[in-house]
Amino acid sequence: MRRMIRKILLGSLAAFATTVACVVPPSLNVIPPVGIVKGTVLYSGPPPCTEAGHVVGNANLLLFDTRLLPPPDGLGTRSSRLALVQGDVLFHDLMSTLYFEPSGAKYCPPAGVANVTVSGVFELGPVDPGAYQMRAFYDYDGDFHPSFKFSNLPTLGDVAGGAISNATAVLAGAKPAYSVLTIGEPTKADVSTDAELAKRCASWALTDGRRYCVRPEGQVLENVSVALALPLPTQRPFFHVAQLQAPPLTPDGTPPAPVANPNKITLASDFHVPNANPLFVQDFTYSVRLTAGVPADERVSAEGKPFSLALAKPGVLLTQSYDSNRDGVIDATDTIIGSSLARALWPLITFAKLDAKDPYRRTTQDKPRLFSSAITAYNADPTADGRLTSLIARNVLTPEARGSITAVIRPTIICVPDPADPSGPTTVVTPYENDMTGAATVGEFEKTIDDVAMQVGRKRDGVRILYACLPPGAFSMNVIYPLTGQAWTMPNEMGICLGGEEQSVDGKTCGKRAKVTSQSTFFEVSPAVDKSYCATRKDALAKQSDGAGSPFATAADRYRATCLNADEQARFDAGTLWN
Amino acid sequence: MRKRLIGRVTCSAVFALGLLSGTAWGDARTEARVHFRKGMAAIGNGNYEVGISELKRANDILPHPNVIYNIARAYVELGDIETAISYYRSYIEQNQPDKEEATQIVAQLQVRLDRQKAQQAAAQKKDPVVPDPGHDPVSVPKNPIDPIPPLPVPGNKKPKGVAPARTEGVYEEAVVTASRGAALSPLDAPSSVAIITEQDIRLSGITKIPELLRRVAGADIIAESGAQHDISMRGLNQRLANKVLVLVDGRSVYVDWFGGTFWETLSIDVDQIERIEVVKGPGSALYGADAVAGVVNIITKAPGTGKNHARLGGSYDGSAYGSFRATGREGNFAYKMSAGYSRYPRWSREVPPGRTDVKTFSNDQNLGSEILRLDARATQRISKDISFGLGGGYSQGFLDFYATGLLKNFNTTGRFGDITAFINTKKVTFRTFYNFQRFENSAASGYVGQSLVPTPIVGNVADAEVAYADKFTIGKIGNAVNAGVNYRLRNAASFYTGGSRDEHHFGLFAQDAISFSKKLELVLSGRLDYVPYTKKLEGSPRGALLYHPTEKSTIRGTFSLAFRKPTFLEGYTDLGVQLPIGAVEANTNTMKIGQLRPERILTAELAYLNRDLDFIEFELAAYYNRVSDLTTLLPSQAVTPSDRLGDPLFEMSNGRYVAGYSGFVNSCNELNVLGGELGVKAYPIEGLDVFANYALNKSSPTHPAGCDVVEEQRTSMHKLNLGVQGRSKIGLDGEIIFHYVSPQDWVERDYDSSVNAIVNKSLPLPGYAMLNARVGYRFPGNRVEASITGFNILNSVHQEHPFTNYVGRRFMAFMQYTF
Repeated sequence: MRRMIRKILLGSLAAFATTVACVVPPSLNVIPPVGIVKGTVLYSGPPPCTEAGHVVGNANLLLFDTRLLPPPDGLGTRSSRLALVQGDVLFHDLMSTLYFEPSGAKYCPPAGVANVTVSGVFELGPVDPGAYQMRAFYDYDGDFHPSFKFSNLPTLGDVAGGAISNATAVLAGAKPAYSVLTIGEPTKADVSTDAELAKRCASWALTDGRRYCVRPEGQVLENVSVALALPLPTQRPFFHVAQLQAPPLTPDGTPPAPVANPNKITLASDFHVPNANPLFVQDFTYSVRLTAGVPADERVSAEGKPFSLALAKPGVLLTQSYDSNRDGVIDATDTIIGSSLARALWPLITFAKLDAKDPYRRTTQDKPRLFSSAITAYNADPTADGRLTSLIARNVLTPEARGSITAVIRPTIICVPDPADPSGPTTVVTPYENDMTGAATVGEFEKTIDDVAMQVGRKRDGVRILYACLPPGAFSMNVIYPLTGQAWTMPNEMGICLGGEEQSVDGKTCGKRAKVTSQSTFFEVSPAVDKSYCATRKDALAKQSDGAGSPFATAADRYRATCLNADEQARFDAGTLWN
Repeated sequence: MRKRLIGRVTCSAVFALGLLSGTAWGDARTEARVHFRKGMAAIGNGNYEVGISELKRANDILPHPNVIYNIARAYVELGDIETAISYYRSYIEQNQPDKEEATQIVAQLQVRLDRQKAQQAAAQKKDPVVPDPGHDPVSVPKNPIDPIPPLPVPGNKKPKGVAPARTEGVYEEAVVTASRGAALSPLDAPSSVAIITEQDIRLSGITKIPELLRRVAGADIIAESGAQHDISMRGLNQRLANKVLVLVDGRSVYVDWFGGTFWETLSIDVDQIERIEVVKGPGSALYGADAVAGVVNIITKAPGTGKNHARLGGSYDGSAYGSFRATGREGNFAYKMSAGYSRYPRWSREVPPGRTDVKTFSNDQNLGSEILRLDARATQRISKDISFGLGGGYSQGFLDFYATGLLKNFNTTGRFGDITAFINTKKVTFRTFYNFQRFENSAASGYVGQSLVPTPIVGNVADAEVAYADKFTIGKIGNAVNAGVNYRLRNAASFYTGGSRDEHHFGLFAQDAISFSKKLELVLSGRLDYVPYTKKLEGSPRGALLYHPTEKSTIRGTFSLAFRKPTFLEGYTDLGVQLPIGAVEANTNTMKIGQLRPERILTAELAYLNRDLDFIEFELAAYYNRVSDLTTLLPSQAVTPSDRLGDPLFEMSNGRYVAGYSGFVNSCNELNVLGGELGVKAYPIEGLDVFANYALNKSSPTHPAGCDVVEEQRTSMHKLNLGVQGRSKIGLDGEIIFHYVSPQDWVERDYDSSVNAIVNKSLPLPGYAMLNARVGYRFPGNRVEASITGFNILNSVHQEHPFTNYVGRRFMAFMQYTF
C-alpha cells in the first residue's frame, strides 16, 4: 500500500518536473491598443522670455479630430489631445545664452533680436483610431492654460504652426495645409459582433462603412514634424457687449431705446421679424454693439492676475472681408448665409448653445450642437453702429482696426445632431415663413441650403429648413478671427463665480479674485410670447413629410431629433417646450 | 474474474477503512486532548499503566511539555523512579520556566533511586536469586524487597517530592491577540477570534499567508495579482486595504506609508508559522489606530521548538517556493533561522507581448512577485522569570499590486526588514522594534506619452513599548490586568506625499478581565492615542460581558469603538494624476482640500460559542457596525481662476497643466452594517475534520441632507466555506476546501473618455466559487514528505476586484525534508 502510494506520488512529481515550462499568463482585461504620435517640434522664432530661472512658456501641440476641427474650419470646441514640450526642455541647449534677471523678474528680449532655432521631441498618447490634424503654438507670454476660456487660445506674439506640409508657403502668408495624421487603418470591421476588434476600432464609421482600426500591437506614428515659425500678428478679439438695440414690434413701429451694457440678450423663441428684407433687416431685428476690450472701470481687473489680459489701448477689433465660400478668392460671391446681397465679414460672430446642466455656462452643448450666425457689420465712423447696407458691395482685403463692431442677430438656429458625424442631417429653424409684411423670411432658399451645408461641412440634401419656434436656451457669444483661429467667448470665467468662489456682497469679487461683470453677458432664446403659435407650428410639422430620402418621417420628428436634447424632447412631447 | 473484482473492491473498502480507522486522526489537538483526558482520568483512579499509555499516545500525536511532566509524575506514583527521572529530564530539556524546580525533583528522585538500588544490592547479596533456565526469565519473581517503595502519603497529601499534575490549558486552544499578551481560551476572549493552526497550514498546502485566511468566517479576501492580496474583516475591503492590523509575533508589519500590508514582503513564509490568530472586529482598545476591522497576528514557531526542514516546490506556470528552517537550543539559549524564496507569476496580463504603444516598468509582464526572505531570532533565558530576545528579518524582491483611485496596476521593487528586541519578566514586558521599507514604486504599465508615476518610497518605524500584566483578587472577584505605554516614530518619504515626514505617536492602554464567578466575566479595555496628524487624543474603549452556561460554552456581548488614523498617502497626498488627454493632470492634494478626520467604527456584537463536546464545536455571531468618516477620494474639482492667483497651475516637475484638484476626504455618509457568522467544526469519524462556515454582511448607507455619494457594498453579502481534512496512519493526508463568494457591486473612480472626465463608475462583479485541495504523503521515518496542491482546481476564472487579475488555476508540487 505504502509502496503504491509512494509510486503514484513520485510519479506525479516526476511528471510535473518534466512539464515545467514558463506558461505565459493569459492576456485578459487588456489595455486597448491605441495610437501614439511621436515626433519633433522645430521652433524658429524670437528667443524666449525668462522668469524665476525658467524659460517662460511651452510648446503646446493640439490634436484635433478632422471631423471636429476648430472654427471656422469645423464644429470642434476642444482638441482631442494635448501634448507639450516644456520651454526649459525646448530651449535647453540655449539656456546658457539666455538672460535671467537676478531678481527672478520676467525678462523678454527686445524686439528685433535675431531668431533662434531649437527642437525638442514629444510623445502623445493614447490616441484613439481616427484621422487628426496637429495644430500647435509656442506660448510666448506664458499665459496659456487649457482650463479657462480666457486663457485657452494663443495670443499676440505666440509662435504658431503645426504639422503642416507647406511651412515655407505659410511663412509667405499662405494658409497652413495641415497634414492628416491617421491612427489605424481603414478596415471593413463588424464591431457589433467582435468585441475585441471593437476595442481597437473607431466607434464611428467612414462614409464607405470602413472604420479606422489599430493593429493588436498598437500603432506608433513616428517622425511627425511640427513647425512653429509664425508669430501671431493679432491679439485675441477681446470684447464686451456695450449696447443692445431691440427692434420695433411692427414694421411701422418705433424701436425702443438701446440698452447699455446688458447682462443678457434675449430673443423670444417665436420672434417675428417685422421686415426680413436684407436691405432693412438690421432695423427690424436685434443688434448688439461689441466693443473691444472691457469697460474702462474693469480694465485694471482684466489686466491683473489671474486674467493678465494684454489689452490694447485703445482696444481694437479687426474686420476684413471673409472668404465664406472657401474658394481662396475674396469677391462678390463671399456673402452672408442666405443672402447674396451682403458681404461676409470677419470676425465671425456665432452663438452656440450652452449645456443646461452646467450652472456656470462654460460648456457648449455637445449633442445636438445648436448655433446661430450673426451678421458682422461696422461703420466707417467708429462712433456709430455698423450698417449692413454699407457693406453690400465692398471688398475689404486687409484687416481694419475698429473700436466696435455690430452683430446683427438673425432669428435662425442651425441644428446639427452629431457634430462628429459628417453624414448626419442638419436643420435650420426660423419661427416664421413670412415676415410681417408677407415677404419670405428665407428669401434665397436654395442659397441658404448651400451656405448652411458649406458652413457645417455636410451634404446639402441632408439640410432642411423648418418654420417653428426656436429651441429655447442659453447661448454663448463667440467672436472668431478665421485666419488665425483666435477667438473670444462670452460668458467666460472672468465674469462668473465658479464653484468654491464665493461672490462678495457687492458682486465685485469671486473668492479671492475680481469679477469682471461685463464678461458674464450671454444670449438667450427665451420662452415664446405666443405659445399657441408654437403649438400650432408643432402640429403642422407633425403633418409635414420630411421629404424623400430623409431618415425622418415628419418634420416634427426631425425637429425633435436634431434640435433637442433628451430633457427638451420630453418637454416637446408634453407640449411645454416653449413655456 | 468476478472473484478478482470482488477481491479488489473489498481491498479498496479495506483500504478506505484502513485510511480512516484505528485511533482517531481528526484535528491533532482534539485527538491528543481526548487521550490526555482519558489518561489523567485513569491515573486519578489509580490505573497508572493505562493512564501512562494514554498520555504517551497524546504526546505522540502532539508533543506537549506538560504531558511529559505528567507522565514523569505518574511513573513516580507507579514507583518506577528510573523511568520517571528519564521523563523529568526530557521535560527539563524543554527549558520550561520551572526547569529549576524540575531539576530539584530529579535530584530528590535520584537520591531515592540510589538508596533503592543500594537496598536492592544489599538484599541481593544476602539472598541471591538464581534464575531457572527452564523458566521464562520474565516470570522470575521480583526481588521480594519492593524495588520502589511508595513514598509515605500522610492523609490525602501527594507523595513527597512530586508536584501537582498539570492539566490546565493542556491541548486547549489559546489566543493571545484578543487580550494582548495574556493567553486566553477563545471561550474567554472578549472578541470573536479564529485560529488557523499549523495543521491547517500544512494540510492546506497553501503557500501565501493571506490565502490561509480565506477559510475564516467573515474574512474578505481579494486576490489581486499573482501574489498580493487585500484583506479585511466583515466588509470594508478595498484596493490597498488598510483596516486590518497585521502583526508578526505582536510586531506591527503595517506599511504606514499607504496603510496596508505587503504580505509577500514579510520575512517569514508559511512554514515558519505556528498559528495565525484572527480577531474579528475592532481592536483599537488594545492596539490603537489601524485595527478597525480586525487584527491578524501571525505567531511563528519559537526558537528552539519544532524541527529543521527544507522544502521546495514548483509549478508548470513558473511558480516556485523554497523554505529552509534551522533551530536549536543550547541550555537557556535558543535560536531559529529561516530562509525562503517564492516566485509567482501573474494570473493574467494586461499588456500582451509585442505591444508598441505601451511602456512597462518591468520587462517581465508575466511576473507577479519574486521575493527572497531571511529571518533570524534568538532568546536567552536569564532566570526563571526573565528572558531576553533579539532578532531581525529581511526580504527583498519584486511585487505586482493594485493601487487606489485612478492608479491601478503598480509594481514595486525593494527591501523590507525589521530588528526586534524584547525583555520579558514575570510581570513586565519591554519590547522595541524598527521596521524599514525602501522601495521603488511605479505604475506597471502605461501608454507611451503617459507617465508611470515613479517614486522612491522610504519608510521607517521605530517603536518602543512597556507593558505590565498581573493577576489579583479583590474579595472573590478575580482581576487579570494588562496595561502599557507605547511610543512610535513613523517616518515616510516619497514624491507622492511631498517629501519626508515624521510623526510621533503615543499610546496608553489598559485592560482588566474581571471574573465575578466561574460563569461570569467582564472585560474592560481602553486605549488613548495621540494622533499627530490631527493633534488630538483619540479614545478607543471596549467592553465585553461573557457568560458561561457550561464550562465549555460562552455567550458574549461586546461593544467597542475604534478609529483609523489617516495614512501618509491619504493625509499628505500631493500627486498629479495624468489624464488621458495628455499634458493635463488632476492634482490629488489632500492638504489643499483640508485635513482628514480619522475613520470611526462602532461595533456591537453578540456571540455564542460552544465546545462542550469533543467531536463538534460551533460558533454563532451577530454584529452591527456603524462606520463613519470613511476616507474616500473627492470627485475632481475643476480649477478656478482663484486657484490661478498664487499658482500658475502648471507643474514644472512633470510638465503638465493642472486642470483639477482632488484629494482624500471623509465621506459624508455612514454605513450601517448588519452581519452574522455561523461556523461549525466536527470530527465525525476518526481521521476526518469537517468544517463549514457562512458569513452574511449587509451594508446600508445613510445619507445626511446634502450628501450625494454613490452607494456601494464594500463586501459580498454571502460567503461560504466548506472543508474536509484527513490524516491517516499510512502517511497520506490532505484537505479539500470549497469557497463561495456572492456577486458584488463595486464603485470606483475612473476616466470616462466620452465625457472627458473622472467619474464614479458602478462595476458589478459576478460571484465565484473555488475549490482548493492538497494531498500529501509522508514517507516512513517521517523525514520526507511529498505533496501536490491544487488552487482553484475547477479553473473558475474570475476577478476578485473589477480592476485586478483574473484568478485562474494553479498546481504546485512539493518535497520536504525534515531533520
